[in-house]
Amino acid sequence: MGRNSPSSRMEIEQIASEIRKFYRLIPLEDRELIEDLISRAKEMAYLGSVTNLDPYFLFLLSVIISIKKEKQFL
Amino acid sequence: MIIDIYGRDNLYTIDLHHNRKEWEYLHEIYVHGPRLEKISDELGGISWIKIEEKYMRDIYGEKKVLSILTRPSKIKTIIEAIESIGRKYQYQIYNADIDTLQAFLVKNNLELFSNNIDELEKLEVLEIGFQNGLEEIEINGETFHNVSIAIDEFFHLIKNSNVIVSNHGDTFFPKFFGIARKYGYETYYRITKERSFESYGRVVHRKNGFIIEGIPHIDASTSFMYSEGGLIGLSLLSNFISIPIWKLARITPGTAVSSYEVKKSLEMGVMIPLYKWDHEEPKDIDTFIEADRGGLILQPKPGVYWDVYEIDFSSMYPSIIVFYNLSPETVNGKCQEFEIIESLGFKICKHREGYLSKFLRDLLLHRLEIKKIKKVDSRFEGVDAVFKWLLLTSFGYTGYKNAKFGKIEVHEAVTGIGREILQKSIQIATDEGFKVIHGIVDSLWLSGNGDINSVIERIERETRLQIALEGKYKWIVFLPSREGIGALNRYFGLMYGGKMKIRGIDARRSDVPNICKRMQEDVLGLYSSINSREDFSRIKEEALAIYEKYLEIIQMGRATDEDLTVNFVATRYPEFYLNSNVRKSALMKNTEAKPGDKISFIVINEKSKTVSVMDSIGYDIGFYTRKLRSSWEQISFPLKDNLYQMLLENYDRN
Repeated sequence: MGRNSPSSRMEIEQIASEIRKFYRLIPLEDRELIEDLISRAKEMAYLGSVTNLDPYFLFLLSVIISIKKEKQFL
Repeated sequence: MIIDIYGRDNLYTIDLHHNRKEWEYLHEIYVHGPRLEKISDELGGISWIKIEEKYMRDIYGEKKVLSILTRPSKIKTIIEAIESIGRKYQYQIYNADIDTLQAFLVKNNLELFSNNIDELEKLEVLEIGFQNGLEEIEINGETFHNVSIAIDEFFHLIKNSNVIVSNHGDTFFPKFFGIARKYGYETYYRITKERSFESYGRVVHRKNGFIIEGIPHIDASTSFMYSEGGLIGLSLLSNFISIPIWKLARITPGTAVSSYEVKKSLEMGVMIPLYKWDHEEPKDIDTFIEADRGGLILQPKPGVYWDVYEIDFSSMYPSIIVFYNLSPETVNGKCQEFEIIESLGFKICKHREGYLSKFLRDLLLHRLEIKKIKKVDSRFEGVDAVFKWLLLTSFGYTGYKNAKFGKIEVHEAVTGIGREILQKSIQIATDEGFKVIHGIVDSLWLSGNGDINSVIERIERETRLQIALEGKYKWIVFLPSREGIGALNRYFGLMYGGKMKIRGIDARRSDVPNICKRMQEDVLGLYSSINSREDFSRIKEEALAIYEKYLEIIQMGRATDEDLTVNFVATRYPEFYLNSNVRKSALMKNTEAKPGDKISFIVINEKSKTVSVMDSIGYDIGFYTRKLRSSWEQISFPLKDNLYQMLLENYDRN
């Protein structure tokens, strides 16, 4: 019983931890910026549970949609 | 009315009036495979078995089998003999590991208890509770401090009782009955093995069971099924699945639903395999990834929402099994006419009803009937609860490798169809003018001015499943996770009608100090009068005062042991905990605790990992202040978010 493959939320989390590996090389303000992007991607991670899209593509798509929405709102 | 059944080769039944009847029982097992004569040649000469060639069916179709009739005590020997003749896997053996008491009841068309609740209310119950071991014993409401007087009273009352319901009987009866034997009270009993196991991600510890022959004993302190259904719920279930009540009280709902499926198979003459051969089918990687998913859970945005409808599918997964005809033999099996699950490419047989769907249909209809009766007769509340649990676990068992009617493709088909249904429902709700705020597997939260009845009607028509309006919230709060995005299962809201629904917050958690829960409950009490955004601002100071009151109690050292107690369920033995923390310290102090046991403790000093499991002598003010602050952050979220929302509204207006 139980799952064998990671959920889309786990996939996004995995990408986020890969990204965070270069944190030591970048300034603090850039880290905050990236954390913001990660959190935008996480907000749409659930879309991965109904599609077979590549999680990296889903990550980027989610960030783009979120930024575009914010632009429209402002 | 039969109350109890026990025994092995010679079975005994006890009726309502304490009459004992002896029965002889021969159990029938079946063997299928090549050259069955090899088996009959080898076993034919044995005097205590009868062999006959027959045609029987399992869920996949009819098979030529050897029927072997023998005494229950000999089944194990016969299995070993057949496996030795067939080099373990040459022969398929059926009906060899099922409960022989259940098989006997079905074969002889006998019923346990009754399906009439008025009859069940006539049961004479003997209640016994142990406080501080045998020092204080309560029997039918009377307290005894002398064990020998308690024993006399107990054995006097037992003669006229039908069922014993104890509090910690499984733990203290061995000693109690041991002393009673010295006083001349002879009783036949046996003790079942204790074990720890994992069920639905939780570790459970099942203590030794104390089984008394001739009168069923239920330990209320350890029986989940009893705590949910009470004696009436348990006896009606015992009647429904033909399992003795003492056994039913000690099994999980999953095992109960499995036993129910076995009973239905026995009634229909369908053989049940000893070992299942339904291995996972090979699939390409895309299908595997697509299929290996759970239910669909959306991502809510944290915030306060007003006028929100919650609609829930009734028993969604079992209904999918029933109405989409999902069963091991109907999913990707041989068939003439198929329905295809688009996303997974699975073929579902349409021209014959699957056994699993047939079994669950009866269970589902039975529960729906009970649900209706419950509305007019509150005695059925416990009954409804146990049947609800059976349905809930019926789905999970389809993915369990040892489940007799489990097959992973059925499990995947259920979740796949479930995801499609929720997506379809979201589409319908959006078409009807609603905004979907959140969705969890079988529930949706919708806001908007559309016609909710029209949404429900369309969903039912287009998905074939029943969906009901759980309620309308005046307001509902979806809380943020630590990262700031919406937590999936942490919310609270006030419904029209006054019901407050809370999920996932500290007030509902067992591992949070009681004082934090009390603070949240008091604040929630305040929230129950909120009717508008302005009300949140109005009560803000009052809510803060509640928090400060509890903070002061902690910081002035006035918190009681009850306030400070933290509970958790041990998931392993202390030596297997990687991190050294207060929980590990508490577990090390409870030397008798096993994985699955609930541990209670008070933190004396978090830094030095000092805890108290008895009465506390002081406590760690810093630890409890931090916990209270965290609970306050959670419960005060709408007060802050509301301010933000009001600013946004004013900004829009200007």
